[in-house]
Amino acid sequence: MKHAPSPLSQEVMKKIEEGEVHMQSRGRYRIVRLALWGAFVLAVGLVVYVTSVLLFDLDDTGAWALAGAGPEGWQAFVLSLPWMFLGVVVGGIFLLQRAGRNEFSLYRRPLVITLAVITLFVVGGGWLAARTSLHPYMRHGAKVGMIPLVGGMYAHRGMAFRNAAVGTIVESLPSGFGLAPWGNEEEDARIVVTVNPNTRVTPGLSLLVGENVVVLGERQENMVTARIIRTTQDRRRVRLMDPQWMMRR
Amino acid sequence: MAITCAGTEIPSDAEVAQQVQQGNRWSFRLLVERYTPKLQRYAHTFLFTVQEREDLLQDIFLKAYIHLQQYDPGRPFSPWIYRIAHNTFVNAIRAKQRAPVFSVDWDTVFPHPFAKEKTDRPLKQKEIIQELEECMAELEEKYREPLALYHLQEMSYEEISDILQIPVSTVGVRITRARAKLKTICLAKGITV
Repeated sequence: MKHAPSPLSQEVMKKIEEGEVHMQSRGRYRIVRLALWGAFVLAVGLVVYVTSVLLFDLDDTGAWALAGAGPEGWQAFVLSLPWMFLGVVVGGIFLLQRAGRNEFSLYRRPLVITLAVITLFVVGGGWLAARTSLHPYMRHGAKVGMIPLVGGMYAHRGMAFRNAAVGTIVESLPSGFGLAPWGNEEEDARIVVTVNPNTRVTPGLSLLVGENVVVLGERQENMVTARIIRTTQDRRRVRLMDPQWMMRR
Repeated sequence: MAITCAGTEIPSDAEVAQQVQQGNRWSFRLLVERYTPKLQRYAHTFLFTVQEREDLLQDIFLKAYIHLQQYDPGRPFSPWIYRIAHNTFVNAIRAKQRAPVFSVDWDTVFPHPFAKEKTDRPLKQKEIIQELEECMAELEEKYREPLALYHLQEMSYEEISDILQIPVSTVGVRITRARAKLKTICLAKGITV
């Protein structure tokens, strides 16, 4: 038995037949989808890249070492975080979650889980990228003015929190020692650290040239009156290629 | 997959949609006929008037036709058209009330223990439909909609998740909460559950 078409279907078919509505072509959706995929991949790349700059910055300035210097060290670590990069990364992770909701059916899982997975991916990717020679080369390029757009990201800031320094002792002085801070080991960046009887030094630390230390204390210009000095290890990673080699060329 | 009925092969929704995609415009009428009663019931969940329902349904079918090439015939057709319907209804409600631009739905943020679909579904169906008819209007929309999709439209948690774009576990939680709330409402109205 055939049913008579309903008034609604008649109305809909009339509009279709009279050309009031047109079916969008498949090609259009393909192009849009391709563009969205391209934008998504680009966004993922950007967030991973900024994460790697952030990790490289923490590695290079030795800010990680601050976290191992007790409660004051933790405070200094938080204050020395590159908050602008961190903001971009956190915002980027939320944006990626929103952008991937439909394409990867992310809505099927709770938000905390999808955010955790994206964060793992971004931090993992950033960590790997920070291990390569990319950033040392980029920083060198930025210094000689070869990288116009993202060069500003590599403008040396040193340790963001001025009352903390991490570096290698390069000379002994009557009142303390000279410190070459990591991330900026040029002559004029050296810090003169004054040690007095109130300075708490890790037992067994002899403050000899070549030792790596974390210094917390009041800083004026390039002089620091040390309140706490702790030993640390140079954890800056050996990269795939020595950037010095590239710079010499 | 096509279904055979009294020796006649009835094409599935996906097959009909594919025919329309390939240029057979008239097959679209079949989809409209098949989905009109279902979507009318779905629209009823949103408490629209009869006139509003008719207008919105026409809008949904025209949108479905315009964007039909976006539909993947390898997947079920039903969640695809229900998603369009959901968006159309929600937009219509927003146009009427001034809904907040942004709000956090905490149910979708944290994981919930996954509430399995019950095996007694057909047994409870009739009584639940009766309760729904009487008391559903008083339920909050976020509970009313998944409950209606599950019990009135007979959709699975996964399909509801695709339509509402919320986690599958949240669908289970909302249906469970909706049942409890519905029970309270019905009891308050003197309806025995």
